[in-house]
Amino acid sequence: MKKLGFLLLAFFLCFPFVGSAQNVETEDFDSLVAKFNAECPITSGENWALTSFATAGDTVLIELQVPASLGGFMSLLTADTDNVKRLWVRELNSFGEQWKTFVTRLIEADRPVRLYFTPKGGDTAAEIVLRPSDFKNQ
Amino acid sequence: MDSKKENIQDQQRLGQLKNLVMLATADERFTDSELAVLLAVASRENITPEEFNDVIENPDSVSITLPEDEETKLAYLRDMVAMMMVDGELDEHELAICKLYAMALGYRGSIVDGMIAGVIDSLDAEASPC
Repeated sequence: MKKLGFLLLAFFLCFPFVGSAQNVETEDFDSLVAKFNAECPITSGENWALTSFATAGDTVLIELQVPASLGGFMSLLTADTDNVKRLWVRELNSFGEQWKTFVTRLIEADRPVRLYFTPKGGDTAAEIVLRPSDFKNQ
Repeated sequence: MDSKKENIQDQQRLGQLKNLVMLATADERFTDSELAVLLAVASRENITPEEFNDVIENPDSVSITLPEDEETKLAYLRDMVAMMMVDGELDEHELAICKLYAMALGYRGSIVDGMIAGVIDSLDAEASPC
């Protein structure tokens, strides 16, 4: 009985620490995203415009609007090839120095980036997930 | 050849036709010269008139399947570049699509610039007096 009590005590002592550590990290990351949004308004890349930037759980969500003429090429935009992933990492890097600082944090926190593509005048059609390793390889 | 492989090749050649149709209409104009490229590719790929009409009328029914062998990859990319250039204008969206296609195939986007320069050089050589 004493052993069970000790185990329960140990569990309740340890668990809140684990939980609060995760919360602190999420809050830090969310505030980093908010700071990035506030200080680095992103309008457009060469052929796409950023329409939203947020976090959901562990993932960073980025929604990009593409011209309607690219809409039919969603499978090319989201092809799971290293070259296409490099293209998107390069596009995101064009957001500037603040983004690069953000990426460092992204890699440290091991967060994936989920890019959603919406053709102008259409619904979300496709997505691609970039892992921290995709940013490390650049 | 097994039926699975044949099916993939069917998807590739119809997907290529779809790519070209969408590329031709990306600048919201569809010219006779673009139609000529489409017909030439359809002929090379043994696409039947019924398949051709299906792709034109209902492109969403065809999914794009990227080729894996180098020869087909380059042939399809050349088709795209030809389609982009055949109306005599380099539309920025069409160029972006061609570069994206090249990258999805595993090439650098700059291969498209090289192909365009190659076509222009050939035309210049043909136009210049001997």
